[in-house]
Amino acid sequence: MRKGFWLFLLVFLIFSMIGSSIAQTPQYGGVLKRSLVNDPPTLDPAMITDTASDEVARQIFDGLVEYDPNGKVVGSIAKRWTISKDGTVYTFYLNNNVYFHNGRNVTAEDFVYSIKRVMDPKTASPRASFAEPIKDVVAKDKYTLVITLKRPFAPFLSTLTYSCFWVVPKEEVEKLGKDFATKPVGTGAFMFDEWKHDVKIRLKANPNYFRGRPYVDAIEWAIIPDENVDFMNFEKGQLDITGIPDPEWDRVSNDPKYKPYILEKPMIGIYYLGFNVQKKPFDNKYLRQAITRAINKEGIVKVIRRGRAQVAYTILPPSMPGFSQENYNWAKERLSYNVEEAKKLLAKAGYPNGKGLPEITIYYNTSVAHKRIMEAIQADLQKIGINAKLQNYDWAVYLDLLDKGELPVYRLGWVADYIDPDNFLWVLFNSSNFGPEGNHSFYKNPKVDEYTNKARIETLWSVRVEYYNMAERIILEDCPIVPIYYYVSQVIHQPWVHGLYLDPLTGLSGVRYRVVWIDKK
Amino acid sequence: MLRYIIRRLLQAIPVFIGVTLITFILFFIAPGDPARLIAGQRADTETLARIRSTWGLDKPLPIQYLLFLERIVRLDFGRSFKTNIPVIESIGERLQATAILALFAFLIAILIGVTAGIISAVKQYSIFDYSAMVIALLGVSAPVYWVGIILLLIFGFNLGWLPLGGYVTEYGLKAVILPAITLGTRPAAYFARLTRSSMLEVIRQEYILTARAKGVSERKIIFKHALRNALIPVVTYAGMVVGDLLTGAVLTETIFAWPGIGRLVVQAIFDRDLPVLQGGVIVIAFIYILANLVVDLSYALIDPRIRYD
Repeated sequence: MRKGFWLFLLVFLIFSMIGSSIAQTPQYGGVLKRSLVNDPPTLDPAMITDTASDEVARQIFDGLVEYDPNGKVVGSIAKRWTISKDGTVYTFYLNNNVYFHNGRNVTAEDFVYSIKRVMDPKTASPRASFAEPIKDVVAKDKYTLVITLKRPFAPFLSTLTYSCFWVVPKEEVEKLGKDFATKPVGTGAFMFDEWKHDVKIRLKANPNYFRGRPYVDAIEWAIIPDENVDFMNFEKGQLDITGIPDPEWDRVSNDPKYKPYILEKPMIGIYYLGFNVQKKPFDNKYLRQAITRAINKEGIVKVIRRGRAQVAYTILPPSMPGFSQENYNWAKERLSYNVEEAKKLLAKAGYPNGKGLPEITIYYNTSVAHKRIMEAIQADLQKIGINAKLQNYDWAVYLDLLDKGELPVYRLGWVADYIDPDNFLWVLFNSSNFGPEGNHSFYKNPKVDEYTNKARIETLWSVRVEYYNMAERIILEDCPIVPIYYYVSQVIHQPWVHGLYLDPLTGLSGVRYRVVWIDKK
Repeated sequence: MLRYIIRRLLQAIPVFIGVTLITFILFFIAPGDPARLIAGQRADTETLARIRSTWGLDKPLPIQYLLFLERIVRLDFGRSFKTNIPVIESIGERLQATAILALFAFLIAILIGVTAGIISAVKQYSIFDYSAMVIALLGVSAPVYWVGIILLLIFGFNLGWLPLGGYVTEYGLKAVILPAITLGTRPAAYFARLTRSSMLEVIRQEYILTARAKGVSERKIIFKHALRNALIPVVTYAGMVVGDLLTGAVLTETIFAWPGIGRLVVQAIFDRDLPVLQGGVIVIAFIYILANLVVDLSYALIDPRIRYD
């Protein structure tokens, strides 16, 4: 009897182990089902500016380099590279076994064509500015590419991860013309299969992918504009991965059925309230500081965002290389929510208890979520005697007014294009970028200009970090913006989905699905 | 009749020019730069200039408008600023989807609405009459978004009988049932109220009394004598409903992920996508003109006293 029990236990354990190893061994096959809120505007890498297009095109195309799940630049089609001592010549050695979906081998000439296409004014690429530092790009031999810069540009390697630098086949671009945007041909793990506009996009596995075929046979994105309907589809098992709508968050995040399948990752992005520092009365630093200290960011994150973000004190999010814990601690101590300190600063600004300060207007682009946050800020300001009213515009109008500097207090968000402090501190605060180029606060500080300019051309990382930390401290003290929270990406997947990760920059839209597999029976 | 149709179609030409001109003027009066939206949140001035030049947005406004008219004459609606897809292609795809949805919604509205209206009028002050009119009131008042979500929750999510949104290419005709009911609910309710009141007015006329006195069957009185005369306001309303169903289904299309023209045009407004917006406006104007023409022509079929010269 006792012998029989042990035998049973042994057999049970063996079968359990086999079962679990089967579940953990990546399997091939199946269709991965995703959704998008909108039809992607384009799948032409030179024209992409939005996350929906980026998520789909990322599966079809590859570049020289890419980010790994930790945000480190690693080789993609380039197997290795060298950078000249002066930081102006980048030599890339390409894998020789990469093929376009039409069967042609990828060579250095293809990168020359793809990069020059972005630089060509006729292409009118919205991301042509990313190629601005490039002086020349040549194929040294079949698989060696040399890019020469006009001047050293430290974040250059990081910018090469951006979609506009993915390689495209000249013959297909020229054959299809503008239709290349809807019938793309790349080198990626998935090949374009079908696109029914506003209905679905389907990609199929590329059996000849240079890093081995992806696990799933195909990916399908259904276009589902309503997030509640999207989540119903997920709950019925008709979607494999999706986001979680705010009204569902408490239920889903506390449900043991769903909890193990929620992925969370801080993004390199920030939600903030900005001031046009050249407009009265916001040219007054103490007024900006008073407003900064009057805003209960913790309350906004806890109550309005239901904890789905991280309270922000600095400009650079903690996941950005170069983030300064010292600046964070300093800002947390000196600029966090404190009504009494806010009142003192308001008095120092010349408006004791708000007396003499005219009613201010806080602008935001039309959205229920933004409205709730702006209402909370409005109530916070009331506590120190500042009367504020709210005004919203649709995005097109809003952007126009922001560019012209007509919004004295505005809300905005910023998610990095590439992982480098330059993409925050130089873009948003250097005085060469007023208006549409990123500096909507019209903020100008010679020291900040000097540090952010020097950091761009300095090649030694430790020195660059010093510059960025010094620049950030000045900006924090000047308060041209009030950091409210850092974005956090949260998605949910079905139990049968494995290998999913979140991209450090953009969360789900930056994922390459070649590593994802499903074991749905 | 043919001369009348040709005259009406010729009259539509100034209407088309008028709507495109008004759209064009409104588009450029409203703040918001299309090039800025193409470029994304951050853009350098050089890139913006290139985009404007590529799309001809740097030309003087009258020239832009004349170039647009010249293209229209060649039936070239241009390409979308946002997607670079030919506008005619985008509108063609969406129009087909919208026509399917509108057809089913219209059938639901007519069948349910007119039938309920007739029965309510014939059986005035009955339980059916009260119930139908209360339901009609709810149908008129209920927000489209609410109706759509509730239908999805019950029949898609809980019972699993019908798909949770999506198009006929994915799920067949099952996909059209819930969006058509959602879209058809409000016009069905209006049809019911309108048919009832119109029928009540007609069946109190003396010629109905005469027919009854002559011993004509009740069925014949209702369907041959009363309904035909009561239909004139219903048909007028039907013309407007067809136009609305074909153009104003944005919410239904959004809830049910239906690739219709309403979503396309509204998105074009937000994206400042002038070619798509102009193309959409022309198609919508054409739909309304055609619907009104069909309504006018159908009067002659319903009422032999009406003639077109």
